[in-house]
Amino acid sequence: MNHKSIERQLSAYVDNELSVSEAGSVRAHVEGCPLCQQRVQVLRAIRTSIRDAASVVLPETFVYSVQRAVRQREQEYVMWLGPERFARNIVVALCVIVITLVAVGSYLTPQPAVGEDRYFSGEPSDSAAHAVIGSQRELSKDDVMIAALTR
Amino acid sequence: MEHQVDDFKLIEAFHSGDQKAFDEIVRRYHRQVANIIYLTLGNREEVDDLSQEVFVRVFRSLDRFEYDSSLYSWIYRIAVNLCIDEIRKKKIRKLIPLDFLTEKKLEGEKKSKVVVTASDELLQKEKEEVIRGALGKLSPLHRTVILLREYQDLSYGEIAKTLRISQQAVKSRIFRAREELRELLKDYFQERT
Repeated sequence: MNHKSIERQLSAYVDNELSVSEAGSVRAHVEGCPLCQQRVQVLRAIRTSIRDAASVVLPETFVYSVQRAVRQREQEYVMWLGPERFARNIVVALCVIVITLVAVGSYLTPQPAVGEDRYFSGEPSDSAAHAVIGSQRELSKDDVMIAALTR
Repeated sequence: MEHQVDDFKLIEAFHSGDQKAFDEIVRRYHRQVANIIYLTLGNREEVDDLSQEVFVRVFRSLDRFEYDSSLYSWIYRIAVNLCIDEIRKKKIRKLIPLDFLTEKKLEGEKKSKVVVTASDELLQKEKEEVIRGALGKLSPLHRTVILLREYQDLSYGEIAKTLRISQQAVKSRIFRAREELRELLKDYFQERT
């Protein structure tokens, strides 16, 4: 490897992120190259400086302020949960009402007479009357009338 | 590894309703979280509130922690995402005072070093400012990756997991971030090496 390619490896070299053989070649070059030595020195100095610049120390009470914030969020969540649950219940209740109304409505709607369709479609034969008489269920007034008319 | 096992025990204790386990997680990582926020945003005033927000988010999503990464890299991911959101929200890069890093200022600093009479503490503070200013000049992506490496001491693999990018991307971003920092701090370090 030449000087230029070694230079590009120096960053990973100071991080110990090169393979053993790569690190060996870089080390061998750096030992004989003042420019690369200086570069390694600067990279290490940058690291130390960044660590030194991290000078924030939070107050001892930080843990308690986190606890307080967590509790506050939980309370807010519960407060929102009330209206949310209420709205959800309203939606469920509305759905139940609609389904019930549809079911009751369909139950109360009179069943069409057995031969009605055939009669109104103008079928000329006895088939409508036969359909009425041949049906297994109890005959309504309409059925009887349709049977009489079509006969 | 031992630390990681210990962290996992804390998470299990938290899941079984032990509030003290969560407090321990906060105590263990609050300093690192605070500093990563500080160095990423360059603004001390917001650190307390944002650190608090990170741990509230940790609390609320710890149930969904999948034991496929270390707890600290998972917490850093939350912190980093929060910082990126903040940067996007406030376009904070424009707000960071960087004037002290301009050529003129560095020249001024160089000359003033000759007659330095300030205490070590002041020098340290000035150095911290220069470093934070240089970090502030990096793009958020480069800043994040270099902080996870240099401050949090995460390996390339851990950074890749934390930021959900490839190791190759981590390697190249770290390289570029260092090149930028080296350029920005050239005068500063030349004087001291």
